[in-house]
Amino acid sequence: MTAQCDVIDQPFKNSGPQDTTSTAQQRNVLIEDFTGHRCKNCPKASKEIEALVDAFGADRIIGLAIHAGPGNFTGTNADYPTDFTTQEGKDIQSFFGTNFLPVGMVNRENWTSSGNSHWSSYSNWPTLSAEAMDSTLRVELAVDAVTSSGTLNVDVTALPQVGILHDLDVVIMVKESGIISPQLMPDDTRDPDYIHNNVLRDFVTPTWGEQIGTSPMVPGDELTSSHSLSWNTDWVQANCSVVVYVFNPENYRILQVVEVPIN
Amino acid sequence: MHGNFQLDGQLYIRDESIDPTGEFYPDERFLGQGYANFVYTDGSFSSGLRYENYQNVMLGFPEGYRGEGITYRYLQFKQDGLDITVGNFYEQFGTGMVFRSYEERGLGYDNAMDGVRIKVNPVNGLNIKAVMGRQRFYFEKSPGLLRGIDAEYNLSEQLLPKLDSAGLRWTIGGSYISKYQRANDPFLILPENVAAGGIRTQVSKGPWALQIEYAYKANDPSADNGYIYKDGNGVLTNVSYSKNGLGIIAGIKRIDNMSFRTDRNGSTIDMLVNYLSPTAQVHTYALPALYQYATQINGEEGIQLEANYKFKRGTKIGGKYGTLLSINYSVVQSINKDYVDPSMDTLRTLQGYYSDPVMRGDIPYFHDFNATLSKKLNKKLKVNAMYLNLFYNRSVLEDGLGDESILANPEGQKLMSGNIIILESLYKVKSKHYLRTEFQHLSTQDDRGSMAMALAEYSIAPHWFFSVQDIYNYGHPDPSQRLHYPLASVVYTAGTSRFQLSYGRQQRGIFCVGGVCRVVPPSNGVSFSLTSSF
Repeated sequence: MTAQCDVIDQPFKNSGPQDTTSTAQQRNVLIEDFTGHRCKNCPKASKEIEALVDAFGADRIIGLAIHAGPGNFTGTNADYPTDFTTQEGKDIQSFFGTNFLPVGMVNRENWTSSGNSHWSSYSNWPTLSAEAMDSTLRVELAVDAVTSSGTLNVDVTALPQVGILHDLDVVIMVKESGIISPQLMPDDTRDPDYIHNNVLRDFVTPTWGEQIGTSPMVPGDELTSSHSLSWNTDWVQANCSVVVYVFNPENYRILQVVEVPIN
Repeated sequence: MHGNFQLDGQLYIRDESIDPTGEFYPDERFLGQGYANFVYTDGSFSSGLRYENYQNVMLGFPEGYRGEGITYRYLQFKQDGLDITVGNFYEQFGTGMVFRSYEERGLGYDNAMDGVRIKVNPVNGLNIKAVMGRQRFYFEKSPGLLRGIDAEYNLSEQLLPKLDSAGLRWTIGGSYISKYQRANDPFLILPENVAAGGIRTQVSKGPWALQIEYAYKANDPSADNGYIYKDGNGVLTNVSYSKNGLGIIAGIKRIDNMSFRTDRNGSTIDMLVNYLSPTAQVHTYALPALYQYATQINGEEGIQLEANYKFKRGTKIGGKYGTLLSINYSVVQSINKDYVDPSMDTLRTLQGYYSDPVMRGDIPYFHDFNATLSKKLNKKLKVNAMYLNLFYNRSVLEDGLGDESILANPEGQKLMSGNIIILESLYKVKSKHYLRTEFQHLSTQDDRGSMAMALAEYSIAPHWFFSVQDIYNYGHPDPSQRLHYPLASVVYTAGTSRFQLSYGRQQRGIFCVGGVCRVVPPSNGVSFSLTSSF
């Protein structure tokens, strides 16, 4: 039985502390976590993101909680009064095609129009994140986000690190953490003081982004893009941040993502 | 050359009574799906393919079915005592406790293998099967590989002919399968190769038959078991007796941590390697089918007893045509689990829990006691009467709550118990004209409350079939949901082709085949189905 069977006596990897001495940008990970306040298994997915952030740092693992549907998980009622859904979130969910929760995408890897490989359960996020972080950084991003006179202004600079033979699109969005609102928990109880983190609030660019570079691009190119959005005063600015990613519009693969605070 | 074709479609109608927020109402309004099988046979060679289309997948089927394409194709030839299949195939070792690749189209379940299968019969009475490949995952394939071998030997045929001549048949079998899935988890050292094996025996003599199968699975941390490294095991035993109108089957099953998939992160009905048969009767009547049992792959223990007795014609109970009495009792509960304290990090992950097989589990999952009397009253009328007492743990079977969560908060369990009475009759109106009626009543204070159902089917052989039915959920705790669920159908059959048109409302339900279930959302609309074979 042991010939084709690995018996494990010590399950934990001794990876030790992460190397944070390098200042060079590495490929980061966006985990789009499709979730809902009436989805009892969804807090497990949020916890997985927290564990990954603890292990690899908030600059490497960027969580995004998308409350889209189906309505029996994300709809509001007297017990769950906050509407976290956004039309953009629903559009993304509809395009990538799923109706169960919790489920997610890690850098939108492996998308095909008729396949499901771009979807993954939270239990698979550590593996997929580790693989994504190990892969080559193709585009470096520098982002500056400031609010001024009720407007959020975001400047993005993209720096190709290798030759890129497809167009490049950029997406900018706002997310908010620390929102206290009820959540259905895995043991079927309602936690009235649950802290919702990484909640997608709005897109600064259109949902499917705007072009920032055209093929071909080579190292040394400097691609820039600036966008603005009227600040919604319901959002607590100190708890908000801007998430920016660049992706290949042919297969939606996210090449780099960064999260920056709003000044 | 032969094959078959099926096309189903439904035009959905927005129905605010059953779906107030429209969450189940599809954007497409009309959804359709189908398939066609083509099989070509020429002597010892055969080949086949299946085309499937989903535009888009109908409500209640897994969302993974999106698009269209050839999902099953194979070539098979038999030569020199070898039976070789390349491409897709379905196969099973024993009862399937370590390996079963099969399809349940109505459920949207298909874990067909894609690879190579070799069957060989080296000596009389010995059958060996070897398989290698990957499983279907909707329009893709599982990330893990499977390699397995199974041997079954009929002892009484060759080795012990005296037993055979004494009427005793004895077979033994053993199987071994290993899956490989790459692992790159940053926190855990995961086993990339996971093996499972089983041994089995079957003995029969005269009216008696005994079947025992034991299966073992090595450490296989997965999303199902919460990434614990505990090994798994299962045992299935059936004893049967059949003589002089009396038939008895008694079965015992215990499984512990036997979830086995070619993707350790898989869930629901995706990429299951093994099949754990349910210890419960599968009902076709509509109301008991609302509360079907689904095998709990992380652990369960259960017994099933089934007895049939045919009272002979001419006796007091048997009457002129004989009477059949069937009694079935099945009960399933959790296995005993003593969880390791979460503070003991390594032990908790390695072991998860300890389970004593002689101790009973604390959480009742399901029971079903039913008795059916079938009697032909005269040349034209046949009746069936059934009483059923049901218990169904909704927290486990619908919500998928784990034992540990339930034990931490037993009061939070959602339970359902009820009684069902069914009266069915089949009346021959005249030559080729039949009327079948059903009256069903579910009495319960739980879940959706009590319901009553009436059905009438009129068939004119060989072409026409008309059916009307209504389920009235008069006891729903929410008065606004005390709804009627009417359904009317017309079927026309011509030769090997069948066309069905239905209109009506369907309530939320659980649809199960062989202990594997899916949730069917409520819907309203016009549906059609065309099947044909050649």
